[in-house]
Order: sequence, then C-alpha cells, then structure tokens
Amino acid sequence: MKKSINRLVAVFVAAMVITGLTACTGINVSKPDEQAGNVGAGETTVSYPMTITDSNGIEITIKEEPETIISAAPNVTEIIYALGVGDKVVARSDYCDYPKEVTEVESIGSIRTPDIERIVELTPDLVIASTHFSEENAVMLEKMDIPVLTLYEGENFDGSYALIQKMGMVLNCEKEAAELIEGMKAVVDEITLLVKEEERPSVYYVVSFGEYGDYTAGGNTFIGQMLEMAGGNNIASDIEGWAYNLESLLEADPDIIILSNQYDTKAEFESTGSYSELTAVKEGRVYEIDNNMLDRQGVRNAEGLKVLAKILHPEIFR
Amino acid sequence: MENKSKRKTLMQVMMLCIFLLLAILISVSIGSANVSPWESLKIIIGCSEASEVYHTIIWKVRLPRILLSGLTGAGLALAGTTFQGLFQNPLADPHTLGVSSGAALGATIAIIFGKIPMMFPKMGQIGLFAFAGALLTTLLVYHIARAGGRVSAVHIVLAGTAISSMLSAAISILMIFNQAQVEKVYFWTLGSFSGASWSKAAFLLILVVLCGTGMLWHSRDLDALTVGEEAAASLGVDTIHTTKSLILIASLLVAGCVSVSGIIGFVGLLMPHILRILTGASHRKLLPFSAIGGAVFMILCDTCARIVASPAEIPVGAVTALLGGPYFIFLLYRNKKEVF
Repeated sequence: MKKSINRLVAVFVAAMVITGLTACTGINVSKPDEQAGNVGAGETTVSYPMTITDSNGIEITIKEEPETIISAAPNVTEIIYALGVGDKVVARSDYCDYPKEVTEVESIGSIRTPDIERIVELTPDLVIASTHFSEENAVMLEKMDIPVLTLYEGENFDGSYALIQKMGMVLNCEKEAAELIEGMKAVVDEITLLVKEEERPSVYYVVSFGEYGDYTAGGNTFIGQMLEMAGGNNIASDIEGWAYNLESLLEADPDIIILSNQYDTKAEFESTGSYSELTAVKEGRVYEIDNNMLDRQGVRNAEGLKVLAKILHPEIFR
Repeated sequence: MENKSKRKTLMQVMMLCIFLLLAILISVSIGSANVSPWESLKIIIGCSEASEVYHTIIWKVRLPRILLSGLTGAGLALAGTTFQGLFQNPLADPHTLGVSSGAALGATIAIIFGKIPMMFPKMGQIGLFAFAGALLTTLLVYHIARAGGRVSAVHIVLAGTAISSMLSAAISILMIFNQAQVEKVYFWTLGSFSGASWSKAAFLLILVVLCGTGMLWHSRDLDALTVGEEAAASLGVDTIHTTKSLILIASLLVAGCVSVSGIIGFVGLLMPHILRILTGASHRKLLPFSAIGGAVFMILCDTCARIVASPAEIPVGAVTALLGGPYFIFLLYRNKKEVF
C-alpha cells in the first residue's frame, strides 16, 4: 500500500517537474557576451561565430556550426550521438565504444597521445576533448587553426547536465540537450523518491582489489554520491578519494558488493583469498554493473543511478 | 677470548630475535580494523570471543602479511649483502643486476594481457609472471657471467645495468600502448604487501631458507672475494665458480621477493651496512644478522605503511626510503670509522 502511494507520488512529481522545466529555462551556464539574450522554449539562442570558455579557462572561437567533429573522449562521444549528430563524427579516441556505431568510425589513437598529424589531415571543424587530453596538444592544434574544446564539469549530476547543455549549445542542438537533461532529471527524481523511505543496505563499490590494491568510491566521489542517492549506505562514505584497505572492508562486511562487469572481475573477486570470507560473497550478493555508465560523465549517469537502485532495492522495481 | 666473543654474538642474535618477535607482536596488534591490541593477541593465542570477522582479519589478512614482509625483508637484505661482497661495491643492492626489472616486465605483461587461464591461482597471476620474468633475467645475467673465462665483477654489474635499462625501456613502450593499465603497473612497481597470503609466505619461506643456506655455505669465499678477486684467487677460492653460484642463488632470491611484493628499495642496500657496523665484515655473522635485521625493518615499515594514512595505504617502498635513508646517514655520522 505504501509502495503504490509512493509510486503515484513519484509519477505526479515527475510530471510536475517536466512541466515546470518546459515552461522556463532552469539551467544556468556561463554564456558568452556575443550571444543572444535569454531563452524561452522553442527559441534558439545559438549563433555563430560563438566564443566559449572551455574548462581549461581558454577562450575558443567556433566560426560556424561544426559539420565535422573529432571526439577525443568516450563520454563526449556518447553525448554527441545522444544529441543526434553522431553522423558528424569523423574520428574518435581508442576508448570510444558506445554507442556501437562509433566503432566503425576511424580512431585517432589514445587520449593522452593522439595522432596529431591525422587529426590535422582530417581538418575537423571542431575537436571536443575531456580530462586527460593534454593542454600541449590542444595548443598545438589551435595553432593549426583547429579549435579544441576541452570540457569537464564537476563530478556530480549538475556537472553532467552542464556538460550536456554546453555541448548542445556548441553543436546547435539545444533542444535535444534540454530534452536529454529533463529525462535524466526525471529519472533521478524518481529514484530519489522511490528509495527515500526504504531501509538502506550497506554497500561497497569495488574499483580494484587484491594485488592491485583496494580502491573504492569515497564519500566525496560521484559514484559515492550515487550510491547514497540510490538508497545505499556506502561503507566508505567517511573517506575522501579512492584509497581503502582490506581490513576495513572485512570489518564492515557490507550487505551488497558492486563491481564492474568487465574482465571477469566478479569471478576473480569471489575466488581471491580473504574476499571469499565476506558475507556478501558467501550469500551471493555480489552484483555487476557496466561501470562506464558511472565513470563517464554524460548521458548514461541517470541510467547508472537506476541500475544501482535496482541492485540495492530490487523489491521496488518488481 | 673465543668464548667471550662467541657469547657476545649469541647475545646479539638473541637481541635481534627478540626485536623480531616484538615487531611481529606489535604489528599484529595494530591496523585499520577496530580490534584492540589486547584482543588481537588473544585471537592469536586462541582464547578470544571476538566475532568471526576479526579472527579472519588477524589470521588471514594481518599475519600472512607480516610474515611475508618479514621474509621479503630478510631475502632482500641477504641478496644485498651477497651482492655487496661479490662485487666489492658498497652501493650494490638486490636490484643491481636487473632481476627486478625483469620481474617488473613480467608483471607488466601479466597486467596488460590479463586473462590467461590461471594455472596457479593461489600464487596470483601477476606474481607468477613476475617470477618468470625475473628468472629469465637471472638466466641471462648468469649466462653473461659464464661467458668467457675471466669475467670481472665490474663487467657483470655493467651488463646488469644495461639489462635493467633495456627492460625498463620495454616496460615504458608497453605502457604507451596500454595507457589504461598505467596506474595498475605503477602501483605494482611501488611495492606493496596488500596481496599477501599464506601460500605466498610459504613460497618465500622455502626460497629464503634454501638460498640463505646456499649463501651461508659460501660465506668464507665471500669474505675473501670482498677483498678482491685476485686476492681471493690467491687464497684458493674458485672465484669463477663461486661468483656464478652466488649470482644464481641471490638472483633467485630477489626474483622470489620481487614477484610477491613489487620493487622495494633501500632494504637490500642499507641493512648490510647497518648490520656491518654491529657485526663486522665476517659474512658468517653478517648474513644471518642482515636477514633478521631486514625482516624487522620491513615488518615495521609495512606496519607504518598500513596505519599512517589509514584507511589508505602508503606504498611500503616509500616508507623504507623515508625511514631508512635518514637513519643510515645518522649511523654513518656517528660511526665515522671505515666500515667497508
């Protein structure tokens, strides 16, 4: 009885939120001076040439709407495709693997050491990069008249929304960006409400373990926050950063353990020495998740939150 | 006179052993988990009523780790002592011949190429590959030491340095093509005992006992070689045979140590020097003393690494450098007499 009322309230609130968002611009992002004024739904504010200050504090000028884009980060690639302009991507980084279509696109190498010559040869209208892309490379490309936009926002949902919104502006997809953000916010609000009254199981998120050292998501990390938002009690919420140790993990003996679904992590974790002593391992409460949804700042973070919530509170999502 | 010095040596050995025991007991009783020192001692004795998880922590996490770090310290100190005597070089340490770089390359390959069917799951895949890499490097160095009748210590050390550089370069190149694994490799090379287990400790125990005995067997020859190869030869030492054997034995020991714990510096370099001040240059005394001294030092360093930034862990190699370096300078200053 309580659950169905909660669900009803959640749907009602979600509807209100969506209605509220479409009625006015909720999102604030530093807009350059040359741009047109404030926006209402349906109006476009994007005009080229556009000057935007990227996350390194550098002012980038984009002369006209980019038709050929090189994406130098997997999360950027995901956003570009989600905005509907994936066909403009002429090259990507080695690590860009979602959505599947992008693997057909040529790669210009790793993020830290991209093939500069090939990038120049492709003469893209814009290169969009994220963290790890060195400033030296960006400057070098700028000198050859290729604008490089480096974007990374704060590690939280507001950061994800800001990133999508900025890219929407740059690529002239403001409407699509707004829709994406609304959709994500709706999911986040729904989840928050659904788990609000639920009992919070203790949870541990495995970043690495064993010979590689024990690392998890501390309280101030995005993943740490997501664990709490999804209705869990992160046993590492009292630490900042990622460094942890085996003794503390064994002592806390969490109800649920979440790890990556890549590289057979689950099988190895459950069979390695002391980890097999954990109650969660013995009682089969070790769950896998596509960590890219959580690690890559962008369009899949809300989906990741939902998967976390489903793991922590399966009974709600019956 | 003989009896007096023998008794003095016995006293010193007992003192060191007591230190070792104390180090173990102290280390067992402190850590990140909230179990009091008194309780952890009770758990060891077996008359504790604390919950199962604390028994697991003490018996399966702390104890094997303490033993492993002690054995690694002993092994590295033994190897350092041997190399310093063998190459008449006070700056020689276990990593001189490039065996550690071979281990690092093996570990890098294991980390990058990930999933290969685990044949010895208990050893840890990285450890296995690291050991294999170290062994191959040992054979290479041994081969160089064999080639041609009179190969001097200098040549061997130079060859080892060259091999070490080559292998490090190979690791760097592998890293460029596998940037996602850079952190893992870096963490491994910093040295850590966080993956300790009873099987690793058992493996290293066998290795330390076997190789330590082998070194002790050659202790007289080592004493002679320390003075110089020609002098040793004139004393009747088969320098070529002894050199080859000792290189093999010591490298094997280093291979074992590095493959379970990564690359930990300073212990192999400093322990012989510190203990030499205490025992004099006779390897029959120096080797066992170095071993015990190395064990004590490493146990204490690893305990520091575990608790200083709890719940995070500092790489133990950083602690050995931070603790060992200043102490050694202090000792040198206090004991201005020539010890080597």
